[in-house]
Amino acid sequence: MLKLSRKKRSITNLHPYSLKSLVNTFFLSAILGIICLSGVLSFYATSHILTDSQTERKILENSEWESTTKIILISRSRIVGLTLAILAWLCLAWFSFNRLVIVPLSQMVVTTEKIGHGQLNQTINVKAPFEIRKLSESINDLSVNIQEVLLFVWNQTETVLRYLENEQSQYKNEKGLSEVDVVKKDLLELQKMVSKFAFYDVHLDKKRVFDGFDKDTLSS
Amino acid sequence: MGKRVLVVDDSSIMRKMIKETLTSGGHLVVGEAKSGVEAVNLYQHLKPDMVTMDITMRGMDGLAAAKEILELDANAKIIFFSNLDEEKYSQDVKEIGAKGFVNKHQVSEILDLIDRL
Repeated sequence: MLKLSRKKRSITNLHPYSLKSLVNTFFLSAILGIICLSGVLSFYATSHILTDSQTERKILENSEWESTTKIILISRSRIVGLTLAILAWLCLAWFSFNRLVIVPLSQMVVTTEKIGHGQLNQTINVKAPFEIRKLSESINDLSVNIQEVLLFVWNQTETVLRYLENEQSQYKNEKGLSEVDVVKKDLLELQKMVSKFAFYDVHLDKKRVFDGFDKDTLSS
Repeated sequence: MGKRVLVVDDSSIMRKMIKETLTSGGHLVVGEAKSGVEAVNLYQHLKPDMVTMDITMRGMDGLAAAKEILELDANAKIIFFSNLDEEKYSQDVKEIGAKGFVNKHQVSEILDLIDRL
């Protein structure tokens, strides 16, 4: 009989936000923030200089070098240029992060959920940075090991059940079951649990374990 | 009499069990491969006396890997390991040119097979 562990389990806090929306919000707010900041710096701060493009050109071409207005106009255009460069970098970062981290993680979530539900035939295959790839390889390794153990259990219980097939015991307990019957029942229960899993390239059969392509000899 | 063996299996638990059995039988496990591709690479580097090859592996399976190794080295001694039925694979085993087939769930049989080869 198994004993219950008396250790307390901590309740994991599951945050309701998704990583995808967090990242998108971050980058969007950074982009909007940069646009606002540069708008304030280049236009609002110098808005008392109201010029149309013609006058602007005249000032830039004809004014003396030390003219404050000319300096301010040049600064304004440099701030705009710098802002565009920063925005371009931010968009690249957003796009890269999405493709390299968010997308592979989402794929991993889907496949790992299936593995968690007993579909050991699923394999995670993602193109991603080292940590995410290592994580997915480790999950695959776990799944492979679980499959091996379960198939082992299946085969060994099959062997024992075959031997017990012809065993009959005279003694019957109060429920009308002999010791052999109890063992058989327990083994069949064990096999029932194993059959709840789906395996890679392998189908379970009452007599023996077949590979995934052996369709004509599968029994129901 | 101990042979140098390359163990190929995608399950780390299975590799551990095979390695323990082989070591207790006096053989040396010179390498462990997790996949068919790794198996072919390691075979070329290590040149082991024998290879134990799992059949159901993700990606390149054991049969394809065995074919590739035998193309590289026709004298390669490959023993297939599987939890599947022997009858189904005895034909493939002969066709590919592997030296034998052992049921994974009777790992100790590998020692008899190795001694016979």
